[in-house]
Amino acid sequence: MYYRSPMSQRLFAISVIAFVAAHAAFAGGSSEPVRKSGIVLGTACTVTVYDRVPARTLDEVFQRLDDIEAEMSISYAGTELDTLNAEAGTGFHSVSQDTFTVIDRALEFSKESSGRFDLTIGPLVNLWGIGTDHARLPSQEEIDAAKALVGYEMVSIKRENHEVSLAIPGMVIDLGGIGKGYAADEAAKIIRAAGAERAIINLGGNVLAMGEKAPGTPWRVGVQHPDRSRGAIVGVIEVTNKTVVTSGIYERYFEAGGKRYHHILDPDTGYPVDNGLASVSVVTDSSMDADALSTILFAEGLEKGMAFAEARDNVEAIFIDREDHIYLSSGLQDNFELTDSEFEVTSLP
Amino acid sequence: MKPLDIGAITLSLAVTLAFTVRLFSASTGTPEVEIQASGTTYLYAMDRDQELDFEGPIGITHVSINNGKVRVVSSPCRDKICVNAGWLNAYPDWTACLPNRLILRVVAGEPEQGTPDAVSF
Repeated sequence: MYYRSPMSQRLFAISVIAFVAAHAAFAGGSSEPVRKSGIVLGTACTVTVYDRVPARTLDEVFQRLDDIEAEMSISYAGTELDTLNAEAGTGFHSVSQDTFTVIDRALEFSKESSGRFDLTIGPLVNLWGIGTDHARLPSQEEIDAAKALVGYEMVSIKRENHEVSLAIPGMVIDLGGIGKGYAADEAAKIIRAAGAERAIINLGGNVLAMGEKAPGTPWRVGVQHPDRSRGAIVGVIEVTNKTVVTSGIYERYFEAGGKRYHHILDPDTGYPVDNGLASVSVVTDSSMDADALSTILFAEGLEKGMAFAEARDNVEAIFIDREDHIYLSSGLQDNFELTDSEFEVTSLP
Repeated sequence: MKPLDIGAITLSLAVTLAFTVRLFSASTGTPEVEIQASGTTYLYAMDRDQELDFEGPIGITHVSINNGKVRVVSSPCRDKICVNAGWLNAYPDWTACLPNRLILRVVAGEPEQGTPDAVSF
């Protein structure tokens, strides 16, 4: 029988402790993140998970994004929303839980913003074609005709049956200003269900930062420079379990007659919103809400938009104007690191 | 000291060293560029200069890896967002040509000090 000396017992214990400690260090958060990218929802999407998850989790996330695109896109024919729009003027039609959820929320935001955000903006979006190969400056007659088809008041819903009605033929619901946010929230649900708490979901610049980067360390999210190439930033905020969504004039636009026309359209005038702002970023909990709110705050303009944000619980905002001024809502005053000295953080005039 | 003691010490040191090396290498690996095109994902080391062509739905996107940096040199798209991104050299730098269905991403390498985890645009 082998006799283990006190010395060897101690050494054996040390070796076990060293092994367990090294394994804990490896498994306890220092492993490399898993990442998947793809072109979905009309944009480049990347999902990075910093905790261990089953290998299939990222595939499930991208399948979910594909499914949401197939339901809510109007960039191509045959989606559920495209079919609903084609049935405009013919009464109520049933849609999926996903599509109904987003239409319902978009309708609420349309009402709350008195139409600054309008889910029926589709005819104007299609007319201008900004971001497509057929972008052009329409005539005033064309704009007036399209405007006649825009109006959230002409949308009716029946929650019990997930039914939606568009009052007149030619109306077009466009969920482009809210759908990506919903998709990010749904992606987070899948990642959380897989047991992970730390992830960055980036759907074409709509960022959802799940959990915190490390215990006591928040995520650092940059805010895009309005005039530089994508990825160049003006500043950074630190967030834990928040989403950051930006609407800017630089993202999709075309130029005609020496003038730039961007993609955030004013339902009242039928033209791109022209109020001196370059971008608005919204920081909040729900990415769907942030998506819609960034459009609303941009369209409202600096003073009304800031008041709109301040009146809501748990909503913060960063406004950047075209003269390189940055305006922060009250909750971000101590949480914005300016990284570009050409810009100035300032107070409302 | 008995042979088993020496074995325990050796095992302990070897395991600790192995994990230390792995942890260290995970955070400072050589930069690589991951390129997704036409449904396939390609991985290239960025320490070797290369000129690469990728065929997409609207034509050829030309990518250059030079001196530890990577960029889209040309692509048959309208807005040239991918080309205008310029040289990329460290995680999490990336660009994409949506019309030609190409995503280019630096997937390893030490980010510059203060680099954010994501950019909202």
